[in-house]
Amino acid sequence: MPYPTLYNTVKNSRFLYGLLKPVASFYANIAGYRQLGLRYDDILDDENDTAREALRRVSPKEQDLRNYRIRTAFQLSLQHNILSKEKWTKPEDDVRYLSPHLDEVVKEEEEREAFDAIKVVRK
Amino acid sequence: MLRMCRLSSKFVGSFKLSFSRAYASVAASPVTVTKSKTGITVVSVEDSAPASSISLVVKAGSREEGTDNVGVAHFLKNFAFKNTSTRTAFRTVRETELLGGFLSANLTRENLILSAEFLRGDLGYFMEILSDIIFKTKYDHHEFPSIKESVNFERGAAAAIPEVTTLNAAHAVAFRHGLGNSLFAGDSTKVSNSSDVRAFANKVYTASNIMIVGTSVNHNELLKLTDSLFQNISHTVPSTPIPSKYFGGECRISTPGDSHFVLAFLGAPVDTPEYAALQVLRFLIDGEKSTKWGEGVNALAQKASKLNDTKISSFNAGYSDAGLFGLHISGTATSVYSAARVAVEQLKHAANKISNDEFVRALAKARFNAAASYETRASKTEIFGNQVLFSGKVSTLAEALAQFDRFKVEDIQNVAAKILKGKPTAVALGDISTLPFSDSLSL
Repeated sequence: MPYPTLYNTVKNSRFLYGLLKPVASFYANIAGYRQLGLRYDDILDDENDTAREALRRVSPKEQDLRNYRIRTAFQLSLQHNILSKEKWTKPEDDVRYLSPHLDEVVKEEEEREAFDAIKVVRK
Repeated sequence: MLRMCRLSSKFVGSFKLSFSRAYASVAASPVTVTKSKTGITVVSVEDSAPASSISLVVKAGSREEGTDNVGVAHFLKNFAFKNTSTRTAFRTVRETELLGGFLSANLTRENLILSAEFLRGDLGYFMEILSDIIFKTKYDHHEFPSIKESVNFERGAAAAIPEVTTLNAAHAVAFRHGLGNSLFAGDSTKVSNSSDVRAFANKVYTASNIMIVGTSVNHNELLKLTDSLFQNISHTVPSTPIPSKYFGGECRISTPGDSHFVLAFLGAPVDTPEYAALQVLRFLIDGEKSTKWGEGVNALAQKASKLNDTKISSFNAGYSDAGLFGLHISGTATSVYSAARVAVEQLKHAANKISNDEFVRALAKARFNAAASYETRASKTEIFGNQVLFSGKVSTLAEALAQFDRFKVEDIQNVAAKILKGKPTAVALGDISTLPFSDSLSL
């Protein structure tokens, strides 16, 4: 993560996690994307080269499912409608299928830039 | 001229050292052989060259493919130096370039040879690179499409070389499975994702299938690195290989352009006296000349220069339990036909009566060829790799040359008569309506 964050502190502390996780779950449930049948990773901006490469690494099947979810969500959004309660994305289905690949690609890009800017010192 | 088909992919070609030695001695560089604690044999040759090399020779050639994973050896070769859990492929290449190294992966019918050439101080780094290929390659699914592309490219490049196509076809016709498997993954390969490659890798990467050859490296350092880096090598004993069976037969491939014809017979396993005798026979009937000008000395060389556009060369491919001996003739279809007739005549002549002159000449060439094969790093690696993996012991150049000293004319005549008795393998490529069949050659 490029910005300073307490993500790991919370994750590793049982007290803080127990305190904040219900708040986070509540927020995710009312954010609105689950009512449209989407997963969190469907909302991430995908119109840049990093995301495009990360998307290429997701299996074709997952890509098809993602495309279907985005189309139904778009249609619902046009109709100013949401899905019926049984069809909302369940928290256990809200899997981050794209973010790990995104992190990988970002790391690879940083590695490339680091090597391009490398200063070679003769032993 | 390709004597033995080998498929190689070379990665970092930034800096290829060419070292010239002012003299070569028969008492070649000392060879040390030790079996490491991990069960992997380590051979090092002290060349006193400024650049070192290490090679991992694995018994993972095209021979190891089964019918359910045809083509997987080619894919495994192309997965070398790709993403591992310690470094990305990009980082491997960049770091190697910065160190001035040269990484390559070569596939032969019986072995996969992963090599690194580098300057003397970098042994630790490159041993780590090679051991990571064995243990830490990720076989990422997203890398598979680009590897498949490179496999297809290499197959296409090979298909454009008629010598490679005919030799590959000759092996396929002669041995069918095992040694007959194509070196190149075909269009109809059964490998469809990286898990297939991972499964094959897990099967072949065991201690008894791997050996390490180092040239111009410190043997103790190499041994210590092997002990530490290969600790977790699997020790499963691989299933006993199916012995090679020779069938023989015909193969006709219609193409435009020059015609090529391969006539082959069952040869002998490498490192046997019969193989050495076949080496002498090979140079007896070889149609290549050793100098740029002139006509060449023996009958086939003279025939080749008379036909002007024709090239006749003999080959003697030796594997662990079989071999393929024969001739490759190329030119226009009618020239190839007449050259093939002369070649068969010469073979029959060799089976009946070899003059002392011819014998001495062939012997000298065979000895030179043996000595030359102990000269280059790549060839030494292959020789020692084969010897350790398949027979467990290493034989030096002196021993190899001594074999030739024991031969008399009758030995060569006998071996020629023997191969002529077997069923021939014939591959015709080009104008197949004109090219001969093996039975039109009065064998």
